[in-house]
Formats: sequence, structure tokens, C-alpha cells
Amino acid sequence: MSRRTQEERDLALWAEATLSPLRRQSAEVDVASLVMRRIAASRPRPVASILPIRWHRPAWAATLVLGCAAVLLLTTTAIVMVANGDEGARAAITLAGAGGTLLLRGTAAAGGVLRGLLEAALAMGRGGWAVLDAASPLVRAAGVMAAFCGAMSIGFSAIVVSRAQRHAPVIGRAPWTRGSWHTLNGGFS
Amino acid sequence: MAAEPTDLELVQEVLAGRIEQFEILVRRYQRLVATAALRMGVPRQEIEDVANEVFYKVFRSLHRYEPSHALSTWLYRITVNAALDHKRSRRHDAKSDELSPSLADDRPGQDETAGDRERAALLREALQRLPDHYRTPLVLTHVEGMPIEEVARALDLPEGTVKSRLFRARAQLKEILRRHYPGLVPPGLVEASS
Repeated sequence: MSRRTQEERDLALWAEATLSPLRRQSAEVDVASLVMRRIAASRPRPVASILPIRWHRPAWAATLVLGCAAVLLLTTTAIVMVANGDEGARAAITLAGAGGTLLLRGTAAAGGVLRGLLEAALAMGRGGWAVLDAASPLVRAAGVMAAFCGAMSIGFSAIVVSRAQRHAPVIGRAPWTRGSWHTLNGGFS
Repeated sequence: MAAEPTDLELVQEVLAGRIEQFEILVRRYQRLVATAALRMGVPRQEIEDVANEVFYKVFRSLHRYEPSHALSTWLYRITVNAALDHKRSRRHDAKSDELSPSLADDRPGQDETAGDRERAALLREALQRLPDHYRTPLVLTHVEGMPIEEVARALDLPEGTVKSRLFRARAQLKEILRRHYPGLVPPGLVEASS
């Protein structure tokens, strides 16, 4: 057995013996009711139904039928009121008419504004296109001029560089050229 | 007499909606959780709160329980985390406030003598000097008596890491006891510990 393994075993035995008083410690609690109350409080409570489950479908059907009957009664009442020339009904009709007119005129005005904006944008687009169309020969001429100037500049630079190379003084040969004994520490050629 | 339902059966029943069955699980494991919390350094008067928190967390995450492992291992894991959270939440308090509940703890456990209680209080104090990541595997192994592989599962660590942490934890504890609590070293093991 290696020394390290023996040391580990000794240490484990030591810890086992040293911590033994803690093993005899225990704690008693009764949290069951607390926990269950907390869980119950954290869950959403279902809404209690006053009807047994088998009555749920008939209850839904009855609700629907009663709802339809209520709408029918309301409509009939409104028709009867309008037919008899009731003041409230007349006022409501006038108000609805005014609202409808307002809505129609508002929509028409908004449409007019939108149409005006679109027409202005189209006119600006057409004007821009006409300017571009008229200026295209000028743009082409400018492009040709720029290209010519560029070519001239390159040619001029080439002439200047070749002249400069021809007239530059020779100060030595590169060390890798034939017949050269130029070394890094200042040899001779 | 009807056989008691297993942990797995109870878990499945709770998950199926019979929440009242959870109370059986709580009653079955509340002593284990409370004792583990005490041994992890939670003062006795605060164990009820920690246990309440542990079981509430267990209920909330019951669907994540893997039946391939024992429920007790999972409970140890949640208890260890709850104990560490509890310690962190108390860290802003004065140090004396942290240590005094353990020292003032005079209610005996089963088979405890006065000497044992005093030694246990001092040992808990000494253990508090260890970093959490050393103290936890040490307590689970040498106090809770869990095998290495179960400790690794409870702490979600590789077994090799648990072994190396255990080695360092024992060495550090030995040094702490030698320096600050020389009377706590078992007499028969003085040679081995020196």
C-alpha cells in the first residue's frame, strides 16, 4: 500500500472517530401540517359549483337560449319604439346619423390628405428622374475626363520613377548578388 | 394490515393530483431532514423553518425527481442547499450570533451525554471554520454516513472531486482542531493525527 493511500486511510479513520459525537445528535420537528397548509395556500382554489356535474350541459344550453331570447326582446322593443315615434329613439337615430356622417366625412378627408401626399411624392420622383436624365451626358463626360486624368497621372508617375532609378547613385550591391563580399559586419565588395 | 406505500408510489400519487399523500412523505422524512440540517450547522430553533422550506421546495419540484435514485439522496441534496442558503442569508449578522445558537443548544438528542453535547457543539463550531465546499462532503460522509457515490450524487459532483475535497477537508479540520480545539482530538488517535 502506498504512503499516500495509508495517509488517506488514517485521516479517514481519524475523521470518523473525531466526528462521532455529531452522529449521535438528532433533531425532531413536526412540519407536516405547516407544509400542507403552505402548499394549500399556494394552489389556486377551484370555483365551487352550485350545480352537480350532470346539470352543467343543460345549464349551458339554457343560458344560450335565454341569451338569444334577451337579444330578440331587445330588438323587438327597439323596433316598436322606432315605429311609434318615441322621442328617445328619435334622438338615438339622429345621434347615430350624425356620427355616421362625421365618420364618412372624416374618412373622406383623410383619404384626400393621403392622396395629396402620394401625388406630391410622385411629382418629386418624376422631377428627380428628369434632372438625372438631363444631366447624364454631363456625368458621362465627367467620368471620361476623370479616367483620362487618372491614366495621365499613372503615366507621369511611371516616367518620374524610371528617370529617378536611372539617375540614382549606386551605393553597393545586395549581399546575395554575384561577386559581392558584403557582410553584415562591414566587409568589402 | 395494508403495506405502507413506497416513496415512489407516494410521489406518483402526489403528481397525479392526490396532494394529501405528500403529508405521508413529510412525516416519513422530516426527522432525516431536520437532523441533516442540524448537522450542517443550522441552529436548532431555526430547523423548523429550514425543514418547511425543504419540503415546500420538494413539493414544487417533485416532477423533476428521478426514481433511479433514492428519495433520501434527493432530500439530502435539497437540505444541504437549503442549509447553505440559510447560512448565506445569516452572514450579514454578527459572528457571535451565528455561533451562539449551536453553543446554547442544550436539548439532548437520543443517546447523548453531557460530554457528547459539549463536544458536538465545539465540533460544529470547528466545522463552521471550514469552507462550505469542504464541510458539506465531510458532514455527509462522516456524520450522515453516506457512501462516496451517494455523496457525489447528492452534491452533483464527480466522485473524484468528492474524494479530493474529503481529503482536504479532513486535513483542514485536523489542523483547525490541533490549533484551536486540542481537547477534541480522540485520545486513541493522537498518534495517527499528529
